Parts: sequence; structure tokens; C-alpha cells
Amino acid sequence: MSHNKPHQLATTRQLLDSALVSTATKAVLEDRLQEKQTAPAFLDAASFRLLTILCRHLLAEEDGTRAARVAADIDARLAANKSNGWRYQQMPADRDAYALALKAMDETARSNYQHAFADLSTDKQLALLHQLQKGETGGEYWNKVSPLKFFEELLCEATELYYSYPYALEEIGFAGIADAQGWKEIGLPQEKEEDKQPAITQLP
Amino acid sequence: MKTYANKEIVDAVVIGTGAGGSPLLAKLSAAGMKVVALEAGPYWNPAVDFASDEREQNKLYWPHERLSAGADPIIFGRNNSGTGVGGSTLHYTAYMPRPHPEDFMLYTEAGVSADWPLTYYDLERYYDELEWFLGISGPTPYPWGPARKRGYPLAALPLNAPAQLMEKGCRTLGIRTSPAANAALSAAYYQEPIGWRHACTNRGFCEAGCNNGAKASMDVTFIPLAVHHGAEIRPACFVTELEEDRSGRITAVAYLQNGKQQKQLCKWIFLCAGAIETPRLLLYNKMANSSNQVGRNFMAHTSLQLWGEFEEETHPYKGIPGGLISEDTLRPHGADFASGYLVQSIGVLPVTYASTLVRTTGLWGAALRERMQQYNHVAGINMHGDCLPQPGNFLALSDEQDDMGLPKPVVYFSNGDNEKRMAAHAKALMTRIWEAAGARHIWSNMRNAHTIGTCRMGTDPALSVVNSEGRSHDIPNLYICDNSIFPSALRVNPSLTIMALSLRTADLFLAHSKRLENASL
Ligand SMILES: Cc1cc2nc3c(=O)[nH]c(=O)nc-3n(C[C@H](O)[C@H](O)[C@H](O)COP(=O)(O)OP(=O)(O)OC[C@H]3O[C@@H](n4cnc5c(N)ncnc54)[C@H](O)[C@@H]3O)c2cc1C
Ligand code: SF4
Repeated sequence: MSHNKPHQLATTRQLLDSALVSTATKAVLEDRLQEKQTAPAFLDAASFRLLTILCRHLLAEEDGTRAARVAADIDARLAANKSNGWRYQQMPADRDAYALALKAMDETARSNYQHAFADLSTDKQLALLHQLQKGETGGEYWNKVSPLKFFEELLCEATELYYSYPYALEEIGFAGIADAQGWKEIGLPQEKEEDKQPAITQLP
Repeated sequence: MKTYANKEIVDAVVIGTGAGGSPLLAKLSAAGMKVVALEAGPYWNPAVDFASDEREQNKLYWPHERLSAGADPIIFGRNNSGTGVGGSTLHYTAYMPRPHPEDFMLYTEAGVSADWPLTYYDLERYYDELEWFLGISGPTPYPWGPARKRGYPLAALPLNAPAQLMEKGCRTLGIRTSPAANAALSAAYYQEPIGWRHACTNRGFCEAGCNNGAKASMDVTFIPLAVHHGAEIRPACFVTELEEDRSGRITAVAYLQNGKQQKQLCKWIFLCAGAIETPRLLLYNKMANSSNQVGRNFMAHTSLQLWGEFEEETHPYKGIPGGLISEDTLRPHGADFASGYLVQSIGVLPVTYASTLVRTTGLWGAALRERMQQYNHVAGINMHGDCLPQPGNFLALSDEQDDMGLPKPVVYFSNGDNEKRMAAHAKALMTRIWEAAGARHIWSNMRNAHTIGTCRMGTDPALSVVNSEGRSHDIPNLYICDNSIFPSALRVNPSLTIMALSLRTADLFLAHSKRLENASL
């Protein structure tokens, strides 16, 4: 199977500048591409910094501003006290869950390595994340919030937010934003005239 | 649109405009009744308001927090609930299979779950009416189930890659498949007084809202019909209280409109808020619950999904996500469980796929990014199977308040042995289908889809909430019509049956109110 296959039709930027994207979709994506203020509105500065690091690791995103955008999206949701419609009953309300778990993560770092999470080496940070995923963090600061469920919820939220950004969608070759005309050849490749057109297959 | 004053005693108030509320709303107004629909969500203009962007379209999902408990907590939000004029049909995939006659009689057949107080044949003419009114695309003849009076009005939609792959896998194994019946138009469709609706453009965003009216959601079908006949649709009206008089009839419906308390006087109430909000409202108002069955019998289909990556590019965002079906597993031979399931192909949008992937496999970091590179090679299949009611699966009010100031519902759900055995059977079969189709990296996620059964319909007032006509056993002018009244889960996607019940409820109600009128003359 081919990895890192270039985009089938065009880059997201080319698509957005073309007539292939509807006005409604264009407006939403252009807005999302705007540089935004990433200062936290709900979390304190230390927790926000920690959350940004977690997002960077979970999403393997070395671009600090992209990871910070995801963290800022989470923070903005918490600031507005918005819900995605449900939560595990065993978990505290989302605001408390994030605030408690981020503090607990720092406490875990301090008790294991005598440093704040943010000051640890990448290896140690990753080791702690693996512990969190397995629910093996231990310590009484985790009594009020399940590390397993927190990891699951954080991973889901960060992933959903990350793949809502055009650069992430472009990386996986998603052309579904080209919605103005829809698609004609929708089956497997051998039955697709679209794919036989040199203009498309010869893109770099 | 016609409007009615709050103080005018209208003939009926319909609460909720989804699959259960909209058809009866249209039918009552066509019969000359003064009807007001109160809908908690907004009235969208899809051409302007709907973007091809999953995150933006989260606005179609019920935003008020629900608590999920039990061994298999139900994931709401994107999975199970909608809001807005049109309800959850705004984001349904629009698979529209009919149940089979035996699905309504599971107790008689296997001694489990419950028989319906009506049969397939009581709903048959409504299925037919709906298929032609909504403009369902599908194969004629349909390979499974009883012979039909006529076929589908439109040819089946073209198959996308996941549908073709499922066809290939099934063909190898000798399993019959067929293009599915889907409520998206394979050709432009004209309907008086609605006018023309566009053919589907294969944009693949059905679950995030169709922007051109090709998909038969209620806002482009029954709602315009109801408005044409004089119904008033009041969006952004969140119903909080039902007011009862001394005789035990409901006389008014109180609601919050943009934070302001309002009250509509009325003669009849049709509660169609879906299988979570309907019981929540009744429990909160301490009403219609002499049987103590409100909130009980919560069911959610056994709906395991199985995914794989293929050599070929699949572009799983192209075409309606719901393309191909097999009902050969209606009652699998030699099965160690009651009832059965169907199998359907599924396309998927990237955020939904990524979210399901990480929640199920726990993949993160470089491994996640790497795996997502294969998105354009992914295809899925899905089962929907029966779910048996159990005493431990129910909805109750929690002691937490939501952002509307109402107690949050808590929903307890655990799969029982029947669901687990059925899911294992389906997983084994679907794995073989996917292997035969050439899939690699197969993984599956057990999930439960559709929220069903919290205000069960039945003949015995001690064991059910509404009678076989959909009227409350306790409150003479209250009808309930949505997914909550199903006595058993049925083995198919629910919307066609919810709408059929809605049309039937309207007919039975009109006859009932005429009888009452004649008696009082
Ligand atoms: C992703 C997805 C795909 C689906 N695909 C299919 C499919 O392919 N085929 C199929 O048959 N089904 C499908 N479904 C299921 C289908 O959408 C629902 O089963 C169906 O719409 C339920 O109808 P209902 O009338 O019970 O409730 P809904 O359609 O949810 O309508 C309830 C309405 O009541 C309103 N309401 C609730 N409380 C209040 C209140 N207090 N005051 C005022 N209004 C209120 C809500 O806002 C909502 O609009 C799918 C669902 C999902 C989530
Ligand atoms: S695939 Fe068809 S039905 Fe679905 S959203 Fe697109 S146009 Fe509408």
C-alpha cells in the first residue's frame, strides 16, 4: 500500500480557491485556517502548557502552534461550558475532569521524577502518557478522576479537533470539501473514469 | 406560515419534529386541525447553513449532556441524537429497510422480548405510502420479505467502493446482497405541494446534513407539507412542563423560547421528543407513569462495525454511506441467540473514522498519523441486530442539572448474552466477508446504535405506557410517537417504522376524536 500519497485532486488551498467548494464550506474552513489567539480562557497557564504538550504527543505534531490550536479548542469549549452531549457517569463534569486530571498528571510527574511534567524529557513524558493510557498512574490525586477514561476522552477530543483542520485532512488525502458539484465516479478504481485522467494522476 | 397565539386553544401541540413527530403533524394539519409544533432545535436552511465539515455540523447533535452508565455506556452526541426541525433525520444515513413480519413477534417465536400489539400488516400500507412519498431509491423487486404491492419509486443509487467491496466479499461466500433501500433520491423527484427535490450528488455527507434536499429528512418532506396545510412550526422552543387539570387531562404545554417562559394552550398533545427526551420529560413531570414503565426497557441495536484497509483506493467519503445490504442473516441457521441481524456497507467521513479508531484501538502519536494515511483505502461494514430488553437497562433522572435547569438523564446499558452472541456471530461472518474482499488490518468496534423502547406500547396498562394506538393509558389526551414506544427493538434501522407508526397514529387519532365528537353531540 502506498504511504503519504499526494492528494488526488489538488491541494486544499487550490480547492478553496476554486469553484469546487461551496460558499458555506469555504467560509467555515477559511475561518478555521485563521491564526487565532491561543491564550487560555479556562485553564491556568501551567495546565494549558501541559495540555499542549499532551496534544503534541498524542497527535505526533511537532508544529507547536498546531498542537496549541487543539489545546486552545479544548480550553475554549471548557470556558464556554459546552458539552458534546454525553459523558461517562463515572467521570466528573468535563471542566472538573480536565482541571483535576491535568493537575494529577503534574503530581504524578513530580512524584515519579521530582519535576513538573513540562520540564521532563520527551522520553519521560511519553512514558507517563503510556502509564496514563493503561491506568497505571497510581497516587491519590487520581482518586476523583479515572486515568483510563480521561485518557480515552482526551485522545478522542484531540483527535477529532486535529482532523478538523485542513492541513490534517490534506495529509490523509480527503477531498470531501470539494462539495459544489459532488462526485460522479464513486466506485472502485477500475471502474473510475476520473482516475484515468492524466491531469489527475500526474499531480506530484 | 400560519401562526397561532399562545392563548388560543389549538387542536394539538406536537413536541419534537423528527421521524415520529413530522408525519403526524402533516396528517393532522391536512385534516384541518390547528396544530403547533414545538421544536427545541433551530430551523436550518441547509443550502446556506450546512458546510461539508464534520466539526461545523456538530450543531445538528443534541447538546445537553446525558450521563452514560452500565457495562456498555451508550455514546450519545454524534452517535445517537439530533436536534433541529427534522430531528435526527437531519443526520441519519437514511437506510430504509422494512422489518419482516416475524420481527414483530419475537416473544411468540422465541419466548424473549415482547410481541407488538400490532402486526407487520397493520403497517404495510404506511410503508408503501412512505416509500412513495419520500422517494426511496431501491431495488425492485426487493429480495427479502413478503411480496409487495409495488416496487420502489426510484432505481437504487450507484454503489460506492465500500458497497462494491461488500458485494465482492459476499459473492465469494455465497451470501446474497442487494443495493439498499435508501431515502436519498437517485433522480430528481416531484411531489405536490413540495415541488422538485434534487437528485443525490454523492457528496457523502448524509450523516452531517444533506445540503441539497436529496435526502428525505423531515425538514424537506413532511414539514413543508404540514406548513402548506396550515401547521405552525416553532423552532428553538424547549418544552419543560405539561400542565394537567383536575380531571387528569393536559391543558397546556410550557416551554422556554430564547430563555423566556411561554405556554401554549391545547386540546391534544403528541409527545415525539425521541426515546431519551420523551421519558425524561414524563419522569420530570411525574406523568403517565402508573405502570412504572417510563424509562424502562431501554434498548439499543447490536451494531458492531468492522473496518479494513484495501489495496484499491476506496475514497470512503464518496457516495451515500449506506449502499449495500444483506438480510440473509434474518434468522441465521443454527444460531445460539434469538432473532437476527442485517449487514450493511458503510462509507465514513474522516473525523468520525479517526474518532472511532482512537476510541477503539487506543492508537496515538505517530502510529495514529500513519494509520490515518490509509483513510482513502478504508471501507467498513456494519450490522444492526435485535436487542432484548433487560431490567438493568433503563433511563432515570440523575441529581445533576443540565444547562436548561432540568435533571440530566442517566442511561444504564449493558449488552446481555443474546447481544454478545449475536455480535460474535456477526463479527466472524463480517471478518470472512472482508477477508474475501481483500481487506487488511481488520479491526472492529462493538457499539450500540439507535435509542429505543423507553415508553413501551402494549395492551396491558400495568406493563406498558401507551396502548396499541399510541395513546397514554393514564392521560386521555396524550399520545406518544417516536422510537420510545417500540415494544421490541426490531432487527432493522428504525426510522421507516417510526414514520409508519406516526401516520397510523394520526389516522387512529382522527377516528378516535371523531368518535368522541359524535358521542358528545
Ligand atoms: C449517525 C446516525 C445514522 C442513522 N442512520 C439511520 C438510518 O440509516 N436509518 C434509520 O432508519 N435510522 C437511522 N438513524 C436513527 C434515526 O435518525 C432515529 O432513529 C430517528 O430519527 C428517531 O426518531 P424520533 O422521532 O424518535 O426522534 P428524533 O428524530 O430524534 O426527534 C426528536 C426531536 O424532538 C426534539 N426535542 C427533544 N426534546 C424536546 C423538548 N423538550 N422540547 C422540544 N423539542 C424537543 C429534538 O430536538 C428532536 O428534533 C441514525 C441515527 C444516527 C445518529
Ligand atoms: S450523498 Fe446524497 S443524500 Fe447524502 S448528503 Fe450528499 S447529496 Fe445528500
